[in-house]
Amino acid sequence: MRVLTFLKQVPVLSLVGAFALLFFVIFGGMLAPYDPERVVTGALQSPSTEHWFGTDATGMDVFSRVMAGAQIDIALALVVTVVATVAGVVLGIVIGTFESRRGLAGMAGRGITRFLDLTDAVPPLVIGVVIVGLMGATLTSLSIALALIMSPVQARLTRAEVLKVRNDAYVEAGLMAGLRPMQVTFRHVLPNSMRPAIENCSTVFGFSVIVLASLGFLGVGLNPPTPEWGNMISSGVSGVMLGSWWPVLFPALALMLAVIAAAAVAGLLTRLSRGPAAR
Amino acid sequence: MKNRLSPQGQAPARSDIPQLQRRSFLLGSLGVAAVAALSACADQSTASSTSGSSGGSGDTSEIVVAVSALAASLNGVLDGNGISLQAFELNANLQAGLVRNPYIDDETEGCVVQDFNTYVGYVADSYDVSEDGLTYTFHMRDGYTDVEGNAITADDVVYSFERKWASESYSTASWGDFKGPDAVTKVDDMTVQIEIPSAGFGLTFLGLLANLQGHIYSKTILDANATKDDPYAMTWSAQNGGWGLGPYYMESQTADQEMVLVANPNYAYGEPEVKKVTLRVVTDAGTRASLMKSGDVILSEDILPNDQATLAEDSSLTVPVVGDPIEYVDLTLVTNKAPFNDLKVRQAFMNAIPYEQIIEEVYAGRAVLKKGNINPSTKGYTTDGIPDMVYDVDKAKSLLAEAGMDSLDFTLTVSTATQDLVNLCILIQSYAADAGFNVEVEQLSAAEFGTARSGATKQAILYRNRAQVQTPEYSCITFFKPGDDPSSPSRWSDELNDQFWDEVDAARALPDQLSDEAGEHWNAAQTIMVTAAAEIFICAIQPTQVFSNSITGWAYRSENQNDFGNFSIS
Repeated sequence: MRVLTFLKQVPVLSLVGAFALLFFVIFGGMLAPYDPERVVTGALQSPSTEHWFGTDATGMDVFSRVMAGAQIDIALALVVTVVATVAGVVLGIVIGTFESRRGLAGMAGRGITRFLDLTDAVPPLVIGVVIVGLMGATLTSLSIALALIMSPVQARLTRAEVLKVRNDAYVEAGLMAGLRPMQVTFRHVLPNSMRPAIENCSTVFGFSVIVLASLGFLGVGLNPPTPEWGNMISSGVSGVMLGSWWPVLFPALALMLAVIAAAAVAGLLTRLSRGPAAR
Repeated sequence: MKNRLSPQGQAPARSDIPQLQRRSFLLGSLGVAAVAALSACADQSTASSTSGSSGGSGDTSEIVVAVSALAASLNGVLDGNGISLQAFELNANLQAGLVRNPYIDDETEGCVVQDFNTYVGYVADSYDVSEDGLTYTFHMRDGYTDVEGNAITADDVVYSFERKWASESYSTASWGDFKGPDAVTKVDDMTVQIEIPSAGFGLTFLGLLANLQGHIYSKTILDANATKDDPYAMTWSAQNGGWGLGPYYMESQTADQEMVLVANPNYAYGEPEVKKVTLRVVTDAGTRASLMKSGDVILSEDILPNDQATLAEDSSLTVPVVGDPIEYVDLTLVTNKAPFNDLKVRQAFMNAIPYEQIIEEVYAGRAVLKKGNINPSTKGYTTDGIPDMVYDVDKAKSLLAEAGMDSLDFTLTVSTATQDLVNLCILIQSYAADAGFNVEVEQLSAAEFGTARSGATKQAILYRNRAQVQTPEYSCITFFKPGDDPSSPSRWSDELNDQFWDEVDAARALPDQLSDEAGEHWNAAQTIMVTAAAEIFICAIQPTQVFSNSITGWAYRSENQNDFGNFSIS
């Protein structure tokens, strides 16, 4: 009965999106009928029963690459979302708690806040290009780059919530009951401040996919022939004007669906986090 | 993007944030997907703007050409910016040397190619060679002037050599033992004599005079813009035209967008028919091809082979094909470190490359197999006996086994600027795996790649290459200088290399470089070079231009750029 109620309250699209994302991360590679990193036939063959999405400019199977690409793009975005959220929430709690205090801790908190504001002035792609340029294009460097791009957003959301929560009556009550400030912070302020960042996770996920694809499109993503959607779009784009649309269309559609699925999951998280009344 | 996510220090009403973000995010994601799917249209604004004043039809005295980029400086090799397709374009149109290779007919109707066995007067009217082959006497054109009407005399020739040798960025390596301005003597206003170190150097000397190393400048114009700190007006000439003697001078430019060339009324071969050429930057290769298809431009440069194959089906367009393409795909195996310090490993990998598939799949048939890098049309020279480039897995495995290996992992580095070569890497990776080579492809920016190439820091690198001067000596040794020379990307140095230089020296000692005897030595040197497999010549690529059938006089040149001065538009 509870399950039925739950399903009624949750948009079907959200569930489909969530399962689709997980499904392709786990099984994407297995669905590929050909080796996604090997030339399997002639170049630029249009979609057929043998090659559902056609072949690219080197003769690699586009369907296999789109499926395998899901594991890279989506998995990387998931890792980035977790890292950016954990780092952002911790940072947000710290600066929200300390920035209004006097002394060294307060100065540090205010300094970090200004630094986060400063990062707003730098386009995320520029940060990504610089980090990948310094560290090379690997999964690790891309994860670090994307986490650095995304964590300030989560930190700002958490900080804003901490500023609201820290003066609530239950916080003062905790302090008056004899709890130490750190205990109050982690037992009471943290659980009540992290909700916006949690709700924002799916948005971070979606933007991570987009930024990763954009870096690939700019030619600073993973080395070829790694099946990454942005790389696939970038390498196939010049042929579109003259009729070879399939190497670009299918990874672009996959990208679009992943981002929409992430947005749908965002709706789910939002509803769940607000409780039955909001639903 | 961040502003949308950020509360900017204020905590908005909680109930407002997610819906707002989700709605904007959904719209944004749809937008991004649409952008991604239609990203080929990225240069549409450029495309539409290109269809303005001129293009594929109408006025035959003005043309618009779609180019991938513009040269950063007009100084070319003098300030170290000369080795790029963009600089070559300016070399061919803004500059002229004492001599040049005449144009002759070739495979594509209405097109011509350079005759690399012959040199005729250009800035000079004619030239004589002394009996010992050591003194070249150039006779200047009577009444010849620069763009502003200043007479071009022997003084300009002497000045030009002084200016080159005074530039710290100018490499004199190609000139060998030539003494530069000290070897140039003004006999009278209309005659200049140049001494060369050996008769055998004569052919390459003429080739250097005819190409980017040997241009003659207007002394009067440059002197007028010189300063005490810059006596040769290098700073001024980097951005201002009119001091060269080519068929055009630069009238104006907008950095990274457009350059306008105007016909030189005093050009040595007569004022060009096309009076104005606008080079318009269209960065995306697909868009350049599309502009050609739509007729918005009359000529597009640097078109990808697959796009060329598609455009070749359009009967109103010409996609040129030449008998002996000059630009080639060069796979350099760096020999100063493992694994390619081992001859057997290099030879094994040479047999693990799918040459025919590369020509068909990556170049859509618009490339040919290449035997060495001396132009096969060179008099006295043949490619007989030079090993064929063949994909032979069994032989590759056998050679690898002789080197004591079952398999080999290595990194092949390529520049992101050349998409065809990235595709080529993937093809090599797939096919070479069957022979036991596990190739990891590494992409670098063009600048990083250039540094890696000159520093020989990578294991194997893939790039396009060409010899500007199509003489046997220049082609054969330019990329194989001894020692730790940056111009020798393979750093090839072993017993075979010694044999190679023996043959080169024997050929250079002969006064006539186009003789059969010289040809035999050059053939032997090329055979050794190919066998050593320090540089693997994968294939030679057909010209990368596409142009309207209304153009006649398009010339295939050693730098793969257009000589607009030879164009006629119908």
